[in-house]
Amino acid sequence: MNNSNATPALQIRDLHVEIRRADTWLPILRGVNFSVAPGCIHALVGESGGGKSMVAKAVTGLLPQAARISGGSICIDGQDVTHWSENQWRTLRGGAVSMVLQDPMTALNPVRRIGAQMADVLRAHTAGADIEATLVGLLEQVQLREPQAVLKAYPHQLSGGMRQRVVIAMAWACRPRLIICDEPTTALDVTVQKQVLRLIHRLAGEGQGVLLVTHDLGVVAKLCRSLSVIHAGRILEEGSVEAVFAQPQHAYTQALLAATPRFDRPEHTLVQVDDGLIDSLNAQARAYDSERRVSA
Amino acid sequence: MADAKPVSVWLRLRRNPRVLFGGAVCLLLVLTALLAPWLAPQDPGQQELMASFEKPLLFGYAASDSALPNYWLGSDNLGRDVLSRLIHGARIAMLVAVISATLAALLGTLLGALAGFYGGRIDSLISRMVDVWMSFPPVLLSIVLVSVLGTGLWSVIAAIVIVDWTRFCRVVRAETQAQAALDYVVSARMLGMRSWQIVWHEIRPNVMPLLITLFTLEMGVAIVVEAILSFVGLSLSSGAATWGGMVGEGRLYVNQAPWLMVFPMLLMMLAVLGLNALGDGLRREFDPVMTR
Amino acid sequence: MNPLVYLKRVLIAIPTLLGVGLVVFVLMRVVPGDPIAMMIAPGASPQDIQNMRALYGLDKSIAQQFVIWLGEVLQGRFGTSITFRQDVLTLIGERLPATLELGGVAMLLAVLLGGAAGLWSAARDGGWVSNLIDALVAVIQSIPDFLWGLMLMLLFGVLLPWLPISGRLDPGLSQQAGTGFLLIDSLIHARTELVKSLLLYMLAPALSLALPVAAMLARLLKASMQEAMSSDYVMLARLKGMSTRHVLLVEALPNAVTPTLSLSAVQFAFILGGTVLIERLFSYPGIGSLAIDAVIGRDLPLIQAIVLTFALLFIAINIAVDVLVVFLNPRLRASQTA
Repeated sequence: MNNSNATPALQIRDLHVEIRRADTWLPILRGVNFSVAPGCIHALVGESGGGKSMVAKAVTGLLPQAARISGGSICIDGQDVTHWSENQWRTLRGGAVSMVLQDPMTALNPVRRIGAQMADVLRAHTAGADIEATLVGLLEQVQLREPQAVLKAYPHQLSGGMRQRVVIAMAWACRPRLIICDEPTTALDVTVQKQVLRLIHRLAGEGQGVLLVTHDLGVVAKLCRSLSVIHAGRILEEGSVEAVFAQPQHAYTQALLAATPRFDRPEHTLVQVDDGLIDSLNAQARAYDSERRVSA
Repeated sequence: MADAKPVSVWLRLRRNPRVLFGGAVCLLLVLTALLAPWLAPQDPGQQELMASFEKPLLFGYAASDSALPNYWLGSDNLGRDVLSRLIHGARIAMLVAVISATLAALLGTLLGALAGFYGGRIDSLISRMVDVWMSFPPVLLSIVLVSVLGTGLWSVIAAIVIVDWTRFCRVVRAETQAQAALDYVVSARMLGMRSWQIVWHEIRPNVMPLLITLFTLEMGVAIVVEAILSFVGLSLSSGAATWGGMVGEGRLYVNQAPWLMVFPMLLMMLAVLGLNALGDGLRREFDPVMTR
Repeated sequence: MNPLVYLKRVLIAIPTLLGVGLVVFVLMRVVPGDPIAMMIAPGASPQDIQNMRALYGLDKSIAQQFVIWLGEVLQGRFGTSITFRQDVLTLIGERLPATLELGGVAMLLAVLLGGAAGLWSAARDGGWVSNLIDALVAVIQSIPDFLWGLMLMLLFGVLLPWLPISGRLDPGLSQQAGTGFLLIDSLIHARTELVKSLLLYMLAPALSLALPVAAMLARLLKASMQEAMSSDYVMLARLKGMSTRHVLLVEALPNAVTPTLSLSAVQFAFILGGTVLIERLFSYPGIGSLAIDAVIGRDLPLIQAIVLTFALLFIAINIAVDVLVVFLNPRLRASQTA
C-alpha cells in the first residue's frame, strides 16, 4: 500500500552525472529528480540513450570508471549513498538494493547450477540457516514448479520465462528496500511477458519499492502507479500514470504516447516522434549545460 | 559521430610502435643483407689460425697481438671474424626468409583459396592433405626433407615451404569461405563475373592484410628453421657463414668462448622479435576487431 | 557422451595414419644415399651387399616394400634399426617414456605459468602490472622454443651454473626399474634423490618447451577473462554484492578456462614435436634425439616408426581434446546424451 509518509525507498535529488570522453566531461544526467515510495512501482520512461540505464547504474553504484557524479544526491531508504566507496556499496547490493536484468539468457552464469547462483546472495546478506529451504520457498513464490529440480539445473536447461523468474527470485531473495527492473520483459515472448509482469506486481505488493526502467509504455500502463519521463538526461514530466496518460503535458510525452499502439482506440495511427521535437529538446539540454557552466 | 577525416595509411603506420620497431629491424636486416660484401670488414671465410678465439674488441677486451686486424665481435676457433660472418649470415637468412615466405604464401594461398571458394570435393581433398601434413612434427619433417633433398640453399627453402605452406592455406581457406558466403560475392556471381575475377577483385583485398601479417610471421619462422637445420648440420655446406651454423659450432666452445654462441643467438632473436612485431603491428592496424 | 562419434573419429584417423606412413615411406626411398653402402665394410663383395639388401628388403620394388611393411606393421613388427642393430619397437619403447615425461612436465609448467600470468593480468586489468605482463608475454611468445633452449643453456649452464644441461639424471644415481617412466617409478618407490635429480635435469629443456606455450595460454586466458568479466552474469554477481575475488574466480574463471584448456591440449602436440630439437640440444635421451640420429643415419625402419609414433600421438591428442571440450561445457554435454 502506498504509505507516502514513510521514508522513500529511493530518493534522487538534482542528480548530475558526467562521463569523460577524450579530454572533456560530457553531461549524461542533468538534474534528475524523482522518488520511489515503498510498495510503489515507479516507471522511468524514455528512449534508448535517454539516460535510463545511467540512472540504474548510479543507483547501484555501478557507474563506469569514466563516469562521475558531479552534483545532487541519491538516498536509498533514507541513507545518502552518493559518494560511497565500492566496499560500502557491496554491503548494500543484493541486500538493500537489487536489480533484475534485461536478458535472462545472459544474466545467469552458464557453468554454475541455479542453486549455487541463488545461494550466493543469501549467504552474503542473511545469516539464515537452512539455505535450501529458503531457496525452494523463493522459487515457489515465483511460481516455478519442481523447485528442487530447478535448483540442480543449469541455466540452459530452463526456458526464457523460467530463467527470468529465477533472476526475479534472486532479486527478491533478501527482501531489498529497492528493486530496479531494467526492461524485464523486453527479451521475452509476449505470452511469457504477461506472466512475468503479473509476478512483479504481486511481489511488489510486499512492500518493496520498485523502479521500472523501460521504453515500453504498454508495460507502464499495466504495472505502474507513477512515472517519470526522461530525455537527454532531464526529467521532462512526471506524475501518476492515469493523469499523465490521460493528459500528457509535455510535447515529448505526447509524442511517446502517440507512437505507442493503442488497442482501445482502433482509429489511432502510429506517429513517429518528430525530429524537430528531438532537435529542440537537445538544444534545450545544451542550453542547460552552458547555463550550468556559467553559474558554476 | 561525424565522418572522421581519413587518416593516411602511412601516418597511422608510423604512429604504431610495433610497426616502427619491426620495420626498423626489418630495414636494418635487408640493408645489411644487400650491402654485406661492402659492410663486412673482413672476408667471412678467411681463416687466421694464429688469431683464433680472439675476444670481442667491442666489449673492451684487448687484442692478443696488435698486428692483428680488429675483431670487433671476436673470432672463432679458426680465426674467422665473427662480425663479418654475422653480416654475411644476415644475407643468407634474409634470402631464405624472403624466398621461402613468398613461395609458401603462393602455394598456401592458391590451395587455400581453391578450397575456400569452391568447397565440396576440392575442399575435402585439400583439407585432408592439410590434416596429414599437420600430423608430422614440423621439425622432424623438415629434417627428413632436407636429408632427402640434400644440403644447399634451395633444399632448405624447399623444406621450409613444404613444411609450412599449411599455415597460409588454413587461414586463406577460412577467410575465403567466409567472404564467399557474403552477399557481395553472391551478387558478383549473379552479375556473371568469372570465378577468378571474383577472387582477384573482390576477395583478395579483404584477405591481403592477413596475408601480409602471415608473410612477416613466415619470414621469422624461416630464419629459425634455417638456423635449426644449420645447427643440426643439414643446411648449407659447413664453410658458409649462417647464424645457425655459428650457434652450432659455438656450442662446442661455449665455455672458453661464449661470444661465439651469444652474438648469433642475439641477432636471431632480434630478427624474430622484429618480424613478429611488424606482423603483429600491421595486423592490429588493419583489423582492430581481432582480439589476438 | 556419445561413443559412436568418437569411434568415427578414430576410424577416420586410420587413413590419415596410412597417409603419413605412405609419405614417409616414399620420401625415404627417394633419398639419395644408400644406407647399406654406409654400413658395409670396405672391400665387401657385391654378393655381400646384395645379401644385406635382401635382409632389409630393399631389393624389391617400392610398392612391394610398402605392402610388406604394412603387413609387418599390422602384426606389430617394425623391423630392425640399421644404425642401432636393435629391434625398432624395443628401441622406441626404451626412449618414448623419457620424451613423454619431458612433454608432460613441460605442459604442466606451461599451464601453471601461463595460467598464473593470464589470471594476474586479468585481475589487474588496466593497471601497469597488467601492461607489463602483457608486454613480457608478447616478447616471450615471439621467441621459439629452440632459441629459448639456447638461451637457457647459456644462462643456466654457463653463466650461472645452477642447472645441469645435459642428460636425464645424475650419472651417479642408479635408475629405478619399473615402467620406464622414471619419474613415476621413483615416486612410487619414494626415491626422493632420484626424483629431485630427474626434475632438475628436466627443468631447462622443459622450460624451453613451455615458455612460448605459456605465453600463448596467458594471452588467451586474459582475453577470455576480459570477455567473461564484461558479461551480464558478472554484472549480476556484482549486483548481488559479491566480492571481486568471487567474481574473478567463481564466476568468470570457469567460463574463461574452457577455450584455454582446449588450446593447451592442442599445444601439447606441438610440445611433443619440439622435443626433437630440444632433446638434441640438451642431450636428453628421448625419441626426439633418436629421430635426429635416425635421419642423419638414413635409418629407414627407425625413421618410419618414429614418424608413425609422432603421428599417432598427435591424432590421439586431437581426439582427446575433442572429448575434453565436450566434457567441460555442460551445454554440449547435455546435447550429446540427448
